[in-house]
Amino acid sequence: MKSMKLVLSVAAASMLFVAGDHVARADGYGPAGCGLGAMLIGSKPGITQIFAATTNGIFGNQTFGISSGTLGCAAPPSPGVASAKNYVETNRQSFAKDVARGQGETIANLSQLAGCADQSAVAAKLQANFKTVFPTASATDTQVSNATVNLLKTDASLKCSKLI
Amino acid sequence: MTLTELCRPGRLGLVVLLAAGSSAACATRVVSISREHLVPTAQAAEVAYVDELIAASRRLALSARPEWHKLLHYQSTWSGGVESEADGPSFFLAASGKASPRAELEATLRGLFASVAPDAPRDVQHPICQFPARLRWLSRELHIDAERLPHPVCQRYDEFRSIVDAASVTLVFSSYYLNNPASAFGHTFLLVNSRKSETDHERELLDYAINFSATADTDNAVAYAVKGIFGAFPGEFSKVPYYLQVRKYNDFESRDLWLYSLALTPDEIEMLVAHIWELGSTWFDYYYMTENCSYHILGALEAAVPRVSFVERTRIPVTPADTVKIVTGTPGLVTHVSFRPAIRAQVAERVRGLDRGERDLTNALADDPGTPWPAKLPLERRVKVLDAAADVVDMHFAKELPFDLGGPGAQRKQHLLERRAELAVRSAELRVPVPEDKRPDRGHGTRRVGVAGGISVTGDPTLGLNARLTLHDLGDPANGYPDHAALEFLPIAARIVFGADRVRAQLDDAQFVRIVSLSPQTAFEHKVSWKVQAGAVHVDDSGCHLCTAARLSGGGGAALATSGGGLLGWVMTDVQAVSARGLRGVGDAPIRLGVGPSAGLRARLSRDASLLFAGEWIWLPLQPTLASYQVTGGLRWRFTPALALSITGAYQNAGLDGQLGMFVYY
Repeated sequence: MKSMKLVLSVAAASMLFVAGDHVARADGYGPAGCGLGAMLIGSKPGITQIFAATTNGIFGNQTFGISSGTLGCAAPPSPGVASAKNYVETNRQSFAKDVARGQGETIANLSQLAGCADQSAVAAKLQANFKTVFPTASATDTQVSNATVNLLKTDASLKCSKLI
Repeated sequence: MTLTELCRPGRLGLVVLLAAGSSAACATRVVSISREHLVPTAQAAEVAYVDELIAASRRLALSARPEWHKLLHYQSTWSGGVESEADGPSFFLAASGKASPRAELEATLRGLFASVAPDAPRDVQHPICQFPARLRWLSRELHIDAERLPHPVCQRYDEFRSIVDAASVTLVFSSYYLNNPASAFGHTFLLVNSRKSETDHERELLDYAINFSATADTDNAVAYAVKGIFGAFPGEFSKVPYYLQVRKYNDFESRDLWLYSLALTPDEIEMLVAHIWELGSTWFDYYYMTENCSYHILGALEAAVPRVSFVERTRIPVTPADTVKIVTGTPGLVTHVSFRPAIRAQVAERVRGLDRGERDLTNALADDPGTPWPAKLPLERRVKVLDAAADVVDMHFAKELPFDLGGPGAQRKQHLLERRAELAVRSAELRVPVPEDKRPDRGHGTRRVGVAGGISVTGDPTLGLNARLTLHDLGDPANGYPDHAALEFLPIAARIVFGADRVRAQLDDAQFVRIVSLSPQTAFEHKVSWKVQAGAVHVDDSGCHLCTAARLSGGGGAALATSGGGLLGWVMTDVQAVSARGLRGVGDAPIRLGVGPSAGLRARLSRDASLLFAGEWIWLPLQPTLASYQVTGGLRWRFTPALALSITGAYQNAGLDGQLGMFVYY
């Protein structure tokens, strides 16, 4: 079977044609927060993206790719500050739109991770404070996530129980 | 992808490198091998019990059971034996376990009762913790007394189980992505729906995906390609937050996700989680064409659900859509199909609700976020326009935004969102209608064979045969595939020409690969359309009479489509290199280099019928034949799910020919 596969693979090889996305780099993500940019392979779009894949950051840190996954950015195992921040950083582009629109899935998820009582109150609060959370286009992912968590934490009426 | 990128010498030089590349060493990972750190039980009673279990397993011939073979991923070899596809040695408790189901089963039984050596490396797990799915199955079949088993603390496995908190499982298909050959055929992974998200669907993003992918150990594109084809990358299962998958596929690559909810019993779900854990301690050599992401997702599923047999129904190459069809083709297995729209589909839905002036305004805002409001635009329309404009910016700058904080895309988005937040009202939730006709399981069969009768340029009768390994061309039925793309792997067409004086065979077309990626220009998107193919063609002109020539060609240009998609047209500039023995080309060398315009038009008469016209004129400067040209036209009509009628005609340097034939999709 292997030799037949090999023959077919060679025939296939005039182009690299692949079913599926498949290649993740073993060295995980960079040190600067848990933003999508750090999670995706390669710092620039281009040829590396052809091979870019599901990055998960779990490999490299651990012997077993699938094991606990509590390290780093890849996992929000339970609600709390760390998982809320991770979530905001990875989902930043979508989150920014949801904040401006006062509604959306990322706000619902953030409310869950932060343990907030009422997600529409959270949405309204974030929308009213868009410029606090996203002061400039070049604010780093970490600045955005810190500002978000601080905003929710300091408003007692939101009752974000997991941020204490 | 631009043509230049596709034609990078590094990638096309691959063919040459393949011969040399076979020495690429297998990447290995540093993993402790459990069996080297186990101490067999010394207690006489336990030894006797294990012997009893082994005797029972022999009596029941458990090691020959399909369930065991699926759990260990054994597949038949050509020599008549079996071999596990798992390549990480820690997956086997018997040294001969990769090829011996019985040795592995008996070593597993012994291992369950063994203990881990006190000086074992930290990553070594007790077999009860490492192989929870084997334990479940063996316990059931042999009625193993749980009281007599050791009780190791399985902290990592318990954590894994509680984190994924599985209530149900969904097979996810990430749609075709032609701008990235690595995922042109799509991708599949599993979504484990947690108990919490079962009751609260808004939590879905917080669930985990189980993904199989190759882990590369090099940045060199050529090395990537060579190693990938020869199975030198280890492919591994990993769990990834689903939101990361959504950001990557929906947003970054603008690919729709299709979700197929699976009807698994609680016991099967438990078994699947247990088996995924087992797979975490091994790897599989990754073969792009066969043992790829979708293949192993099926393998993991059927190990946990042995009542189904998926893997034996796969074909080469294993395409993700075919694996989806295998699953949907199992009666009662898929309970529900849903869809998560990519950013492009979101933009389309948002602008659908806008009038002409609002669309223009959306465009203006996406270019210049400071564009002032026209007089008398009500607040709720401003909201809609700004929401659309922000999505347009996200679509345009998808590849830059995550990397280029403060770049032009980020600046525009920031400005638009500031304006949007100032309006201080809530947007309505965007609901994108499910494009049922694009469900990947609704597509025609990916393989195609055909037979045709016709007339050659010399007026002689012809009998044509054609075949294609996979996947779809612009004339094929529309359902289940991208509307504006062709992706064909190993299409071949040949004819026997019954001439008056002799009968001859003619190879018309044989390509390794042919891709056409058309991106119709819209008010909101101006992408380049491109095509590329590599293979052999028939050449018959003054520079080469009845030749079979190797040809590499490509082109770039623009496409337009009517709003309903009924008409699709494109214009490109093509380049090509052609070579054949006896061909008189550049400086009398057997190589022809040409450049020239090409164009095409497709008219969809229905989902299953279309007219397709294409033409090209290639200038061959400083060559004996100054130009080659070709105009083709045809009708294709699928009249049953598997059968289509095809009429084609072609006019080229040598004259006019035509064929009438049938295609079978399977």
